[in-house]
Amino acid sequence: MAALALAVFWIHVLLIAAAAGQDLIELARLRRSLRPLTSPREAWVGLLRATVVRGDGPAGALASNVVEQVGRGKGDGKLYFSDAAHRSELHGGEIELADGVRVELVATDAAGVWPDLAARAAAAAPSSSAQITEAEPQARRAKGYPRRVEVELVEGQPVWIAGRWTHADRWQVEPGLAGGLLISAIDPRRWLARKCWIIVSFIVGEIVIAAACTLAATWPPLFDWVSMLGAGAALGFFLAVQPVGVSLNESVRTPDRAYLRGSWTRTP
Amino acid sequence: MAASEIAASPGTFLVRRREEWRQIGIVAVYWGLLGAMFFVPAARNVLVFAGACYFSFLNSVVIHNHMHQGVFHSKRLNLVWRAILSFGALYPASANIPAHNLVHHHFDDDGDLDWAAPDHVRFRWNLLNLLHFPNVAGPRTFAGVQRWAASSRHPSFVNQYRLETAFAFGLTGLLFVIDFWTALFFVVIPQLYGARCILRINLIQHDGAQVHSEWNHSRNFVGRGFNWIMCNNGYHTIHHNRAGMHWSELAPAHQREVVPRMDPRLDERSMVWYLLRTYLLRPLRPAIEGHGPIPSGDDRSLAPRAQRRAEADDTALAESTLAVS
Repeated sequence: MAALALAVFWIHVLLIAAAAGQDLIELARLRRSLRPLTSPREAWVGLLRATVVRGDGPAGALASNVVEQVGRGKGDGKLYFSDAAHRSELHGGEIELADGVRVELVATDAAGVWPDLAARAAAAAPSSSAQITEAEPQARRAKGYPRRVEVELVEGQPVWIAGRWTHADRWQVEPGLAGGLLISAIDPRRWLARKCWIIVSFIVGEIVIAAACTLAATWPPLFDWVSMLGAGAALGFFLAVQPVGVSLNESVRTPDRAYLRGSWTRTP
Repeated sequence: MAASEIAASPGTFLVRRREEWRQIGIVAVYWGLLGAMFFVPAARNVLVFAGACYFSFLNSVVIHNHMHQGVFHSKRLNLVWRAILSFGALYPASANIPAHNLVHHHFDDDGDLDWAAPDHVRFRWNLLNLLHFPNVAGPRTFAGVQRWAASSRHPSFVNQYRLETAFAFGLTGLLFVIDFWTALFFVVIPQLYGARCILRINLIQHDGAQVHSEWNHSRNFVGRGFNWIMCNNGYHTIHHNRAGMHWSELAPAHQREVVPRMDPRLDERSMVWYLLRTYLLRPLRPAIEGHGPIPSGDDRSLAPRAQRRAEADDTALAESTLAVS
């Protein structure tokens, strides 16, 4: 029975590690596709740094990332938000590369817009306690309080842009990555590298802890105190590593579809 | 069915319908098996252990049914029954209200994925999806329940949830203190097996189906023997479409309403054969297939989806409070 329990324990430890490995592969593949370029090259897929010089969207936005949320509360001054949809919108406009070359961007749905997550959190914060008071009656209803948190990339803002670079009479960038075109307010390669290291650390840490639990559980004499503590630790670890694995999976969602959620609390 | 329509059938002692004795019997057998293994060394054998694991799964099926319509006339007894069921599954039965009744029955109509949506797993080797599914659906469910509880105006949910948690973990903890290894091998493993299998059912019943369709959103398992012991939980399409319908009425309703409208490929005679075929004999995850045209919204046989959902939500919440009679 002990061997069966350990086998089941290890199957699930390895499954959780493998699921994290899937995230790692996807992020590493995306990072590889974002080949850093110093200047655009005909038909190359890669990443360039630029500055927004014109946006054709509302309020002069080049692109925006939108999170549709529903807030719910029970009238105690707190509203809890859940995400209903994540959208990226490239409105079109113009960017200027570091060497002064200007590139026209055409509006498309095939774009991922990565916002600065700190800016998105700031945009999601309530403007005042009065805003919370106004939202509360709606949040108490079954349909909740719907809202839209939008972060825009606007004129003068530095951005990273990746896609297929082409030149006709002037430089253009077209969807060339698996997800189309990427426009980011943060350095995507650095973000991806950090997340990849977090996943690697999780996988290694998970396996090391599971091995330590197994070692303790099988410590001779079997079924004595050390063995019992090891088995208890293994059970606790088995239950705890699952939510940690899910949290990791959610925390490595790319910024264009990262969960925002959050809450508002009315201050007296 | 509205909350006020949950009526007791006259003439049945203690329970709302006489079929509920089957559910009580299932739970009694399960407790008997756990008790036998814990107290009688001779009962610690493969047969009793396998039986306990299977009945643990059935205990979770009973949780599902009980959270849709309480077993007993007495609301107080229904809440006590939840605590008993919670011990059997090592999770608070009331978690089913937000997780199953209010979220799973909505699929992704509210915008975000169902906490137990098949999309949460994505291994190419399909057997791994079946094995891994509880590792991702379980934590998503309990995190979601916590978020729901924080904003819920339901008057007694949090207290009831805590009571069930305390009973389930308290009694299990006590067994650990009495005999650690016996509790671990012969109580906790069956408990976890059942709780994890009921999560897997979400994958089995919906993977490859079309959640936006009215009639092809679920896979049904229609074997008679299977549905007797499973309290008709094989008839999943009609259960989703008429969440307020008592489980004992699902079989004729499936024949009458679902069979003429559904893609026949979503009716499976045997779950065992389906599992073998899908997860062992065929290594790769089947591609999502079309299941015939999605019936239009003006199908008069069903009330609008939003209306049905709202009625089912009211019923589920009404079952959870002593205040509604």
